[in-house]
Amino acid sequence: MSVFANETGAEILKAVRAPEFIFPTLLMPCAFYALFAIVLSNSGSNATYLLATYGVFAVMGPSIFGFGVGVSTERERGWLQLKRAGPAPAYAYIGAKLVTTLLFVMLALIPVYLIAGFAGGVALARGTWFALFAIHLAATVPFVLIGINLGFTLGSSGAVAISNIVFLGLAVLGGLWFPVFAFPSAMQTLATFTPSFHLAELALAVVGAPGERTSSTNALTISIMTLSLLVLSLWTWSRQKQ
Amino acid sequence: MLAKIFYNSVIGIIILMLTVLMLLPTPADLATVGQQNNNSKSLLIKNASVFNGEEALARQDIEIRDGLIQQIGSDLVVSDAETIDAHGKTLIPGLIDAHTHSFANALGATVKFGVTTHIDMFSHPSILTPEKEKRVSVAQSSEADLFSAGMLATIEGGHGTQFGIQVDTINSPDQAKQWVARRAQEGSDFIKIVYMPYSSHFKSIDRATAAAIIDAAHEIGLQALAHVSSQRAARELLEHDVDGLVHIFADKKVSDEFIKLAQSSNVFVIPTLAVIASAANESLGMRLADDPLIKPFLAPDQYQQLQSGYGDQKIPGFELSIALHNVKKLHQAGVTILAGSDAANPGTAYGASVHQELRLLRRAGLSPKEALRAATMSVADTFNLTDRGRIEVGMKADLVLLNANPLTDIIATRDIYTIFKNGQEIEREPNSKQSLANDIVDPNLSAFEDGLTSPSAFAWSKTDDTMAGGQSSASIALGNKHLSVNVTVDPKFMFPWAGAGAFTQDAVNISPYSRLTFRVRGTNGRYRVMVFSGAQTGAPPSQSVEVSDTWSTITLELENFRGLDVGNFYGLAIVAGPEQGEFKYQLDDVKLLP
Repeated sequence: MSVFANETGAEILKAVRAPEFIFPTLLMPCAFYALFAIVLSNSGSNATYLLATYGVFAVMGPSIFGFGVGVSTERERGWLQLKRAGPAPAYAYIGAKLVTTLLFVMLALIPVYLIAGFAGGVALARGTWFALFAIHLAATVPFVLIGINLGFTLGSSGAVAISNIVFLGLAVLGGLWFPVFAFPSAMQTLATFTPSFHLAELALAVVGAPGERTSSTNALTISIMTLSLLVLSLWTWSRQKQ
Repeated sequence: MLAKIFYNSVIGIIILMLTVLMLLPTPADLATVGQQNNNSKSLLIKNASVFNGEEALARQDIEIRDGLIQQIGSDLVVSDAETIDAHGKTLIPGLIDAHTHSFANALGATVKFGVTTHIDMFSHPSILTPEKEKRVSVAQSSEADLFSAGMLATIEGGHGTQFGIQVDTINSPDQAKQWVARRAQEGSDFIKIVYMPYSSHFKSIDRATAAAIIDAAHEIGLQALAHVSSQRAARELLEHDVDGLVHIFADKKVSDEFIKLAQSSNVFVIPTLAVIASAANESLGMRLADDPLIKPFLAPDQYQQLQSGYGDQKIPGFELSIALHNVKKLHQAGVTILAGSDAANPGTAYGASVHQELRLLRRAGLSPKEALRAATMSVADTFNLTDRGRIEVGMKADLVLLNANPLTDIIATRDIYTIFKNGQEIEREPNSKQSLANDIVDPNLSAFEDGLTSPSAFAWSKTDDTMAGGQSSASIALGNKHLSVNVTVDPKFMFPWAGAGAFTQDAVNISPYSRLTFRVRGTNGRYRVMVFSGAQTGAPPSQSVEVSDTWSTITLELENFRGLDVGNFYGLAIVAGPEQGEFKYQLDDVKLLP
C-alpha cells in the first residue's frame, strides 16, 4: 500500500509541478460547456442535455492525455524500463496513474456541474446527480484504456498528435459537442462505433433527456468495448516486457 | 512525504466532490423559491354570483390566499385584504379543456381565455416531468397547468405519425405491456390509443392490439382513452372496456345498441364538436375569430388558424349535424360528456375554442349548467383532479370572473372581467394593432422570361408534402417564357399536395390589391392555390381551381382566401392535390390585380 501511496503521491506532485500539461484538460470542458450551453444558447433549454455530454467530454481529456502522452514519454525516456527494474510492482505504476486520473477527472467535472447547476438552471434530483457522476466517473475506464494503448504503441511525438485526433474525433463523432441527431445519417452510424456515444447516451438516459434510447444496448456495447480495450492493453503491455 | 500528498489529495478531492454533489440544485429547491415568491396577502372577492362547478350559489364572498381558496361564505371579514366588488358578476372555476395538443405557447395563450388546465391528448414526452412539477405548485404562473397522455399508441404510418414528432409506434398485442410501461415511466397521466381500422387514409393498430393496450393500462391503474372516427370502431373498443372516447364519431347516427353499451360500460365522451365543425367546413372558427370578446386577445397565429380552418374543403366522414345528434342522444342516456376543443387543429385556437365548444354542447342539448360542468367539475372527476374544477375551500384558486351569468346564456363565458391563476390575476391586455410590412414593389409575381425570381423578389421553387411527412413529389423547369411543373401526388399524406410556389424573404403588404390572377394549362383536373402570410403555422388558406389543357386565365378574389393576412404576405403556391395522380402543367403571368 505504501508503495502505491508513494507512487500516486509522486504522480500528483508531477502533475502539480507541471501544470501547463494538466490545466488545459481541466479548463477546456467547462469553458466549452459555458460557451455552448449557457452563453450561445438562446433558450437555455439545452443545459441539461449538454451537461450529460460535456461531462463525458470532461472525462476524456485527463484519461486519454494523462495516459497516452504520459506513458509514451516515460517509455521513450527509458523511465518505464527503470520502473520495471525497480522494486515497485507494475500495478503500482498503472494504479497510481489511474487514481491520479480519477482525481483529475473529478476536478474537471466539478466546474462543469457548478456551471450547470448555478448558471444553467439545471435542477436534478439528488440521486440523479449522484447517478450522473457515477456514469461520468465510470467513463474514465474505457478512455484510460484507450490512452494506455496509445501510450504503449506510439512514440512521444506521435502520441501527442494521435491522442489529439482520437480525443477530438471521439468528442465530435460521439455527439459530445453537438447532439448526434443533428448529424447526417452516415455520421450517425459512425457514432455508434465510438465509446463516447454510448457513454453519452447512458448519461442522457440518467438525466432523462428527450429522445428514445435503449440503455441496455448502450451498456452492453460499452462493456464489450471496454473488455476488448482491456485485452488489447494487456497484449501491448506484454510486448513492453520483451 | 509522497504518501501524505496522496492521502491529502484523495481525501480533499473526494470531500470537495461530495460537497458539490450535495449542493447542486434539485427541482425541490426551485419549487421552494417559487413558493417564496407567492404573495401571502389575502384577496377577497365580494358579493359574487357563483357557479361552483356543480351548482349555482347566490351572493358569496371568496377569500384567496397563497394560491388557494381559503374561505367561502356570506359577509366574510378579512383584515388587510385587497377587495374586488363582484356585485352582478359571476365567478366560475377556471375552465378545463379536456382535449388539446399543447404545443409551443399553448399554455400561455389559453389562460387568456379563462382556461387554466389542459388535458393534452398527445405531446412529446419530454414535457411531462416539468409540467407535473408545475401543476402541483401554487406559485404565481401566467400559464395553464397540463395533464397529458404523452406519447400516443398508433401503428407505424398511422394517425399521429404525420406531425413531425417521433412516435414510439406499436404493431402487435405482445408489445402492449412494454409500450404502456414506457408511458408510465415517462409520466403519462393516462393512455391514448388511435384506433381507426376503417379509415381510408390511415393505417391503424388492429383490434387485438388495442384491447391489449387497454388491458395493460388498466393493470397499472391508468385510464385508456381512444381516438375513433367511426361508430363501428367505437363499439369495438367499448366491448374492450375503453374508459373514454376523445371524439364523437360523426359518420353515422348513434344506434340504440351503442347507447345501451355506452350506458353499461360507463364510458365518457369528449365530443370535440368545434374541430368536427371545422372539418365539416362549417366556418364557425371564422365567426369565433371575429367575436369582439375573443378577437382582441387572440395571438396573430391563433387568429389566422381560426380563420383558415381546413381551407375550403370538407373532409369526408365529418357531419356536424350527425355529431350534434349523437352527443344529444348519449347525453340524454346519461353518458358523461366533457368539453374539449382539440386545439390547435385547423379552425380552433387555444382557449378561445373552449367557449365555442360550450356553445356547441348547448346546441347538442346540454343545459348551460350541464355545459359548464362539462368544462369544470366533470372533467376533474373523470381525470381524478382533486385540486381543481370546483370552487371549494382548499382548491387551487383558478377562477374566472364573468361580467354576465353563463347559466342564463352560455355565451357569457366569453365576457371575462378577470382571470385568476394560482390566486393571482392574469394580465389580459388586448393585442395592439398588428404592424404592416412594406408595400409590395411590383404586383408581378412571375417573370418567367428571365429566371425564377420575380421583380418583387418572390423566388419560385417546387413545393410538396414531403415537408409534412407525405410522399408526393414535384419538379419545375423554366419553359419557353413560362414555368413547367411536373408532379406526382401520393395519397399517403392526409392532405397531399405537390406543385410550384413563390416565396419572398420579407413579408410584404398587398392590401392595395384585391385579386390574384395567372395563366395556366395542364392535365385536366382540380388544382389548389395556397397563400402564406403572417404568423400562420397550420394549413394555409386555399382556393380550388379547374385547369384544362388549353391556356386559360384564372382570377381569384383575395378575400376568399380565408385567414390571409394581406398586410404580411410572403408566398403562394399553385399545386395539384388532394386528388392523387400525375399532373403536368404550365404557369405564366402570375400577378396581383387592384
